[in-house]
Amino acid sequence: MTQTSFRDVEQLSLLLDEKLNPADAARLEAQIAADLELRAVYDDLRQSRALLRRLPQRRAPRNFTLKPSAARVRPPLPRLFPTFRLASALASLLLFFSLATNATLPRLASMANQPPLHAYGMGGGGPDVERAQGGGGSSEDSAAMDMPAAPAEPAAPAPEEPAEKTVEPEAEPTMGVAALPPVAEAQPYEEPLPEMLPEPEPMAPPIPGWLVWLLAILAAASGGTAFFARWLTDRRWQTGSKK
Amino acid sequence: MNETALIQDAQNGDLDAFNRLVLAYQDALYNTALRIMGDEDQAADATQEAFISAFRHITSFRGGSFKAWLLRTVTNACYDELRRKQRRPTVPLEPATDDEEEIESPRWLADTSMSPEQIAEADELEHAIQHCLNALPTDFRTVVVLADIQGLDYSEIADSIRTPLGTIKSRLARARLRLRECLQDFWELLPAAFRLEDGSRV
Repeated sequence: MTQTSFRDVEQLSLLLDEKLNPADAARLEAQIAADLELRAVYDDLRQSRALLRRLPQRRAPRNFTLKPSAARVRPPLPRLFPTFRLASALASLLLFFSLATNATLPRLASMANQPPLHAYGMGGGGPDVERAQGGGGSSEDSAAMDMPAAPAEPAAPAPEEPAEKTVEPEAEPTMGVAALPPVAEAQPYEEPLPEMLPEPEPMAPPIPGWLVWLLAILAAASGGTAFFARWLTDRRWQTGSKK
Repeated sequence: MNETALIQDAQNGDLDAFNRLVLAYQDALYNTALRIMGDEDQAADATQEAFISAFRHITSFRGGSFKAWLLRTVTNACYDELRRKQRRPTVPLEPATDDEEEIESPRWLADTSMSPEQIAEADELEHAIQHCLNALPTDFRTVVVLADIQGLDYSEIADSIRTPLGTIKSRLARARLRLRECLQDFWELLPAAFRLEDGSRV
């Protein structure tokens, strides 16, 4: 008599269900005949299975048939529902883009028509601005560099004088600007007065208003029709299923 | 009943066709749930959930054994319910004696509308088996219920619970081994007819 292993039990279970091939089944049956413990285990397994098979089959305590509400069944979609839904979606999309275009394009156009903001350029601005900012590299700056240092001087009054000096031929040219043509030939910069600038004309919206309204009406009408058709079908279907 | 035609109709949304299938299989599903859950009310709930789920997903049925497919659905419903129970464990309502001590024997579950003799003869076997089934791990219990109570083939069980065939064989053997050990404690409670069968061992 040998100790029954789980492998033996597994084989016995397969033999019980006739899942072993004939050769293995014959070999195992011979072992069962020779080994009392194996035989006892086999009998117990067989009886356990027989007991389970003898369990009474209970009748279901009630019918488990489904009602439409429990199954959450929805009626088939109306035939035109997808068409109306698509039309509504497209119209809404076009409406959105039309509104966005009308809102952004005129603003962009008016920005493009505005004069350049020279106050923020690198040396491209007028002399006053350059003086105020201390940048630019114009001739008066070079002249100012030749002047003795005047530290802690307020910057505001100083630029008034060098404007005159730049046109004086007696001013000592620095080495860097020696080859430049005489400064006196430069025309004084005349900044146009703000009132001289032409007033930009307000740009008309690129998408006409009637088209925007048409798209809005189309989106609302097609969406409303789609959902009304769906609601109507649902209602008819529910009424029919209650009968 | 033309099962294939009913399944096709149900797949097209015909609830009446599906309900005819429900009537055909509700006992099998309820019994499976009852043996896995060990509780009639929970088994009924799991069966109802299984049929609802089956109807909603019936388009995923691609042929084969419809019963095995339904049993997989009810097995999943039972697993869901068991998981819920594990998350929210409940204290069983044990009956109390006059001294307000709980009766620990599972025999109190017996139907008291029957006489003690009838209970002993008709229900003890079922209660003993259910007690041993409940003592099994859920995976083992499911396999042994599908194999030995519902009579499914190994491959159908593997298909039902989406488990490899080798695992099914192993689980079934282990489940039967544990049932054998458990049932030995109830051997003297078995009905006379079965004891005779027991005496006629090969």
